[in-house]
Amino acid sequence: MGKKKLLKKLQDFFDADQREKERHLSDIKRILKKLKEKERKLQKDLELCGIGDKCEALKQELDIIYAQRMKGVKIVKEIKDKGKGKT
Amino acid sequence: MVLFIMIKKILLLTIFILLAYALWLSPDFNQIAAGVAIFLFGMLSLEQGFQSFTGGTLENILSISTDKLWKSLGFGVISTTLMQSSSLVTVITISFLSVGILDLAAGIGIIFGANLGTTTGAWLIAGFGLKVDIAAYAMPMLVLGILLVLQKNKTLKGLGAILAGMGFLFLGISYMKEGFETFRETIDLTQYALTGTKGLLIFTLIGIAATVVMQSSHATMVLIITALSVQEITYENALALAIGSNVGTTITAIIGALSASVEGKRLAGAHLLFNVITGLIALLMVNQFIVVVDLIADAVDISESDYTLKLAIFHTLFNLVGVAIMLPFISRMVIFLERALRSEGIKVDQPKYLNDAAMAFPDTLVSAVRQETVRLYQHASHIILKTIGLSPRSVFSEQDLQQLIVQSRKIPPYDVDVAYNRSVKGIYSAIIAYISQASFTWEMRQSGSLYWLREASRHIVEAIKDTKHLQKNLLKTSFSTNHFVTDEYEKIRYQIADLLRQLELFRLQAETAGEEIGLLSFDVFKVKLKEQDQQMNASIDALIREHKIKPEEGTSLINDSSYMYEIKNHLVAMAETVFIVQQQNTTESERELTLDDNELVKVMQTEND
Repeated sequence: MGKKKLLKKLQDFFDADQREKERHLSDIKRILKKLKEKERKLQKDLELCGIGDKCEALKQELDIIYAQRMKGVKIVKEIKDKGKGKT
Repeated sequence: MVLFIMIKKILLLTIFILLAYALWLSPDFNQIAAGVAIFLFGMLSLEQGFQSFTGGTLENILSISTDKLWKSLGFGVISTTLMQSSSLVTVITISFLSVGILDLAAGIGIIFGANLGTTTGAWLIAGFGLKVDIAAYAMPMLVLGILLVLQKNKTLKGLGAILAGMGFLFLGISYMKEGFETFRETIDLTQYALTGTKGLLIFTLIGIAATVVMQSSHATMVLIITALSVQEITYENALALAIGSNVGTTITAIIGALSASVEGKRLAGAHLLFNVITGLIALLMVNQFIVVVDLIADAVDISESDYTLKLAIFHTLFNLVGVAIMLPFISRMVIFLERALRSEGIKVDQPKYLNDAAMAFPDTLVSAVRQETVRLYQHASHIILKTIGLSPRSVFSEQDLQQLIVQSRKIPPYDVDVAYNRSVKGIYSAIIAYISQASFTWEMRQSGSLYWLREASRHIVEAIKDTKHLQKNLLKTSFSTNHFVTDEYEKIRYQIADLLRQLELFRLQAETAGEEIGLLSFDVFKVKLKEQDQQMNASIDALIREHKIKPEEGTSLINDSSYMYEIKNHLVAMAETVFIVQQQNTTESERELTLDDNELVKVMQTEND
């Protein structure tokens, strides 16, 4: 392992803030993945349901999940931008 | 209570056997008993008919006519005279008293008035029922009444029930009259007549017993008057029977109050007190009353031998004297009853999961508080459902909710304060105290969870408070005849019950299978609540605009739909914390992704586009 790499690892180890950011990022990404899975499942259900109140409820749930995902993507972008030093 | 139910069952069986034997023994008695049965059926039909008209009108009159004592008294007299049922007036008074629309003094005023109003029954029977061929009026009334009962229109149906009820009353009286006339030919009951104090006391007791069994002083009075008209009983004994029936009639209110709140019990107590004291006065001064009755009869040209009308005078007179004597003591009576019947010492539910041992382990402590909060929520959901007139067992089953709501249109009064003090306050206080005791300055992770759990408990309590606000109009309008108003209140009840059912399903699912990203699922509930709120407001606006409901009814509905919205919001906010058990960090990240109000509205707009 090179000195530079070793130093970076040491710095990371002591940099609690950075660690917290990474944990946060991984949490959000994990949630986004779950949301995407749920979205796919609901889309399949919607294709099968035809017309009626149940379909409307599914459509609404899909819209909500989409909005939540967009919010998550925005947060991921912000975290990454901060990491790169952008404001 | 169990003993009471057992005694009641044994009593019913004994009466049943005795009656069956008597009916088999004497065909004349058969006719008299059938008369009483038809008469009682008429009373039921009459009550049912009037109940369909009580919506709005009676309640509005009640609220404006009970601010002064003389008005309460007048209301009692007039309503009982018109409906010929002091039981219905008493039951409505108890339910209004339970929710605080009336105070005890006004309630007592109404009961006094109802006692006077019910004496008009004796006048009607003695003055009209016995003088004409009452059965001739009964037949067309029954035919036309039943025809109207078969109509779909609620007003016509109500009118039909009243008309048929009166028809049955008349028919019952006629049967009793004829029964006694033929009975007289076979058995002379006057041979059992008793004179003096002994007779007075024994016949008073018989009057009490007969009224307790039939639960209608009206029916007893008809029996007394018809028997008196054919001289099957003596005038003196008839007077004692009338006194007894006046005391015995309190049984309806007493039975009604057994399951009512303490206010209901106090009113039944006032009823009993008034009737017993009045009865005692009548018994002690019976000779003086007889003299005054003769004087009045003489003054109004009633024949000296017309004992039935003289009995009616006596009935009214001693009740009037009772009211005159006891009216000035109403406030003292209120104080006495409030002291004698205190709010029951409530057995307060204690926390089950909060113990000192868990204090040492932060994670265990959070889990204990969470479990206790779930318990608090379960108690609260029961209170909320009972307040809106639904059984928690049925709502949390698979029964059709809409059908449940329709089946339970008449909402029984439910004391939210007592239930809150019994099942919520103790646990809520313990949760708050437990959280405060825990020192978490060194452990922010659990501290955050406890903050949210404390918030959840607060949401639960707020939901109960809003339910209490909602209860007043809910009870008031459950009598309403305007179906547009009742439909809206049924929507309110449906939406609350539906949310509680959905939350319970969510809780059970989360408990058994675990719910990943469960917190985010609550945004679906939130959008639904917002949509329902918008739809309800639009619906109320339309009803006011199209003059289908009065603006006053509209404003009440707007307030109540807002209470409902708050109740639902509190419940969802509580569930977000209590039903989701996850790693703290994940929950925090999920919280970031939940949609705020503006974002929820945007989703709704996207759907509408």
